[in-house]
This record gives sequence, C-alpha cells and structure tokens, in this order.
Amino acid sequence: MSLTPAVALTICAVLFAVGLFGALWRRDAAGLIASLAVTASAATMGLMSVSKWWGGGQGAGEVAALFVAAMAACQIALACALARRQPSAEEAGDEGKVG
Amino acid sequence: MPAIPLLAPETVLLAAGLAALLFELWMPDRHREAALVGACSALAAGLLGVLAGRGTVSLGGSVLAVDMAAQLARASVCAITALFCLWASGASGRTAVSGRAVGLTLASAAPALLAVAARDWLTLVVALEASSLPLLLLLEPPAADHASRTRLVRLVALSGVATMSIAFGVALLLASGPASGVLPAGPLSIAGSSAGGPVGWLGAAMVLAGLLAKLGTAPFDAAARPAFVEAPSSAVGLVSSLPRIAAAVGLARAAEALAPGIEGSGAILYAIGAASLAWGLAAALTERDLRGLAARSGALNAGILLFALGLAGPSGLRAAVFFAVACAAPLLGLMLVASQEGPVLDVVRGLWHRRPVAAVALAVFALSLVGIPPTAGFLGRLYILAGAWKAGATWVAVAGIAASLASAVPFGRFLRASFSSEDAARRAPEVSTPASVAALAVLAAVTVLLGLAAGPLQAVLGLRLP
Repeated sequence: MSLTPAVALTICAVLFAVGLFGALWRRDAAGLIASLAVTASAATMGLMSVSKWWGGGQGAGEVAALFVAAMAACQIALACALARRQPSAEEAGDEGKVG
Repeated sequence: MPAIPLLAPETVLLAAGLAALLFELWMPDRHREAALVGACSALAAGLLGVLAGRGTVSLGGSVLAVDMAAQLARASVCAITALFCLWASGASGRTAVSGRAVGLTLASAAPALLAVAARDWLTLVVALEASSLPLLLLLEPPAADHASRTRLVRLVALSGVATMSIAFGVALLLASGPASGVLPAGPLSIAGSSAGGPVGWLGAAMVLAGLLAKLGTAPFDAAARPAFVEAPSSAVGLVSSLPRIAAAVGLARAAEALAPGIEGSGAILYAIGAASLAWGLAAALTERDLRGLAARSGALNAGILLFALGLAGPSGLRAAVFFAVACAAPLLGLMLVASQEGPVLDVVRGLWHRRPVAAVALAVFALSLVGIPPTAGFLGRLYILAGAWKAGATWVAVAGIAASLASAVPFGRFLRASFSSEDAARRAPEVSTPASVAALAVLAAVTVLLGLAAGPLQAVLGLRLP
C-alpha cells in the first residue's frame, strides 16, 4: 500500500482520536501526558502531510509542524513538572498564596 | 513624534515579566515592588497600544493586524493585567502574590496581545497556548496532594489537546481548500481559509471545538472545575479572564472566515450556544464556591458569545469582542474579592459589615455577570440579543434573556450572603491595603462605566443597538 494523502490523513485522524480518548478516559498523570503526546504527534504529522501534498513547496506546513512540536514539548514539560513537584513545608501553610 | 511600533506593548510586557522573575530570584521579599513595576509596565503597554493605533505588521511569515476590535481587546488585556498587578502589590499574608506569579502574568499577557492581532493560524495557535500555559502554572494549590496534582495535570493535558485539535483542524482545512498563495494572506491565513467538503467541515469542527475549549465552553468547564476549586482564587480569576479574551477574538475571526462556507452555520452556532447555556446553568445552580462559579461562567458566557458569532458579519465580531471584555473584568474582580475574603458561601456571609467596599465591588461584579443594568455585562448582552431579535432569531434572544435571569440564582446566593447580617464563623480577614482597595474600586468603576458607554462605543467601535 503506497502512502497517499488520504491514507496519511486517516492515520493522523486515528492517532488523534486515540490520544483524545486517552485524555478523556485516563485519570492518572502518566496516561494523560502520554495522550497529550499522541495528539501532538497527530497534529504534527497532519501538518507535515499537508505540506508534502498541498504545500506547493512553500514549507509553511513544516514550519507550523515545528512550532506545534515545540509547543507540545512545553505542555508535556509543564505537566510532568506539576505531576512530580513536592511542595515545601513553607508553601504548605499558605492556602491562598499565588506563585 | 516618531511612530510607535505596533509590537511595542508586547515588548514592554515581556521585558517587565522578565524583570519580575529576576526580582523573585534576587530579592524574593520585594514582591510588592515587583507587582508595582508590573502594574506600571502594563499601564504603559496599554497606552503604547492606544498611541500605536491601527495597522498591519508582517513578521517572518506571521501576519498581525490591529483593527478597532483588536485595539479594544488589547487595551483590555493591558488594563486587566495592570489592575491585577496593582491588587497584587497590596496583597499580603496568605493571599500574597510572588514576583514569579507577577512575571508569569506579564509573560502571559504579551502573547494574549499577539493572539488578538493574529491573522494567520500559526500565530493564533502559538500565541493562544503561550497566553494560557504560564497561568495554568499558577493554579497549583500550595498544599497539593497527589489527587489534586493529577486534576491539575488533567486540565493542562486537556488544554494541550484543545490546542492540538486547532492545529490538526487547520491541517484539514488546508487539505480541503485551495491555498490563496497571495502575500500577505499566505497559505496559513485565517481570512483565506475555507471549509470545502467533508474534510473541510471536520477541520472547521476541530478548530471550533479547540477554540471553544479554550473559552471554557460546556462541556470543557467540567474539566476545569475540579482544578479551579482547589486553586488560589486570584489565579482562577486570571485564567478566567486573560486567555479567554484572546480565545474569544480568535474564535470570532475563525467564525468570520469559516462560517460563510458552511451552510446553516448560523443555526449551528446558535444551537451550540444554547446547549452551552443550558449546561452551564444547570451546573451553576448548585455552586457554593466562587471558583466553581468561575468555571461554570465560562460555559454561560461562551453561550452568549456564540449567539454573537451566529449573527455573522463585522457587527457580530465587534459585539463578541465587547462581550468578552465585559465578562473578563468582573470575573477577575469577583475572584480577587474571593481571594481576600474567601471563596466559599459561608465565609462571604456578612461581608458588608466588615468590609463594605469589597461587598459593593462583589455586588457590581455579580450583577454584571448576570447582566443587570447599568453594567458592562448588560450592555454586552443587549447588543447581541437585540441583534438576534432583529435578525429574526427570536428564540435566541428569549433563551439568552432567560438564561441570564436564571443565572441570578447562584450569583444572588453570594450577594444575599454578603449583605446578610449573620456573622458566621470565618477566617480572620487580611488587612486591606490602599492598593488592593484601589484595584477593586477601579475594576468596579470600569464595569459600570462600560455599561453606560453606549454612545462612545458606537462612535469608537461602530457598535450600534439595532
């Protein structure tokens, strides 16, 4: 089976659906972060596919995919940091303190 | 006088945010000074934005255009940021705001300004995410256990999935329609997008769903609520205001571009709006925590916003932007009062007797969120619902009015409690400082003045009562 635009976008759509299901269904931090990574992969692949078959050589899709991948990395890093952080004893006493 | 660059406000905010973070590193005890510097910087950024006027900038493939609606939204973002920083400079004790929080707020406001002016998908998506991500960090409860951390991680993950939904939706839109290929409206231009065929419709639906999730529409508010009720109230206020203004403008631009190509788009937007109103109202009726009410108000306000987008055309876009601003200011104000006094119903009881300014401010904010005149919330609803009535969508106007009146139940509960004479057991309130009182007073005054500004809004924005 050769990779046609329809096949590529279908794979991306299935990947996105899997990631979305995981994000809605999972209740543990690891599962949620993994689901986020899967949806990010789908979005990145979708933009790359569009650039390959519809981009006309302008490279806009590749640039967008780079930015989306960077964003996903920031989101995953933030989620991992929140999942692992242990509050200090001083922070534990400040109920309404922000930051 | 030399021309002020269009991106001067963003530059000022980013520089101020960096300065606040450095304050935190070198002088962690000087968080009030950091907040004051932040307030002055945000005010300066707002003034620069007004003086820079309207225009278009093309920067490395990114297209930014500031029109009248974008100018209003940008000024509002700067004003809200400045007032939050002013309040933070007076906050102390258990409600203290660190220099890190001020820095993150300023760092979030800068991309919000970009998102509001964005005319290409990539800038919109990246700026929207950059404006919400730093603020999600502030939602971290100080004494969090594993379960509450997981709830916050869930909110971050779902916010990220919403962004990816927008990105993937844009890919499908590009696959379905021809690229315009004409600069400055390049292949990622929002205005040049069209939803052709089933692939395009799916793409448009994914973009719409992602933007609605950023706005806190139903059912996405259900994911936000568990994290909100455990977070500091002032952080909830920020998350409920700044990124939502940016998301509302982004949604308006996307709808303006995509709706004409989809048959029955007006009816679809009305239906989603009505569903969001019904869901948000049903969930809000039993709320006894102001933070939970902030989460549900996302669904309620998004419903009215969708009615504005269903009107279509430039007037619908302007009404939607004004309504987003009219919701953001009182919501932030309400959360700042909750931060000082306590977010739970029992703690707010008797507020009028111990702090009358905060009680009056709470009343003004609550009345605006319900849509009672003469507040900004009332005028915002009037533009939209009167427009729907005139356009023949009578049921939309009736639904909007009914939902607004019904939303008086949960907000009225807090109003009644704050003016009641019962002196329930509560925490000892923090001492009010002039800065925090001034911030609340200005927010309340702006909420009322915007509600009385029909004439100036007509002259400046072209908003007319039909």
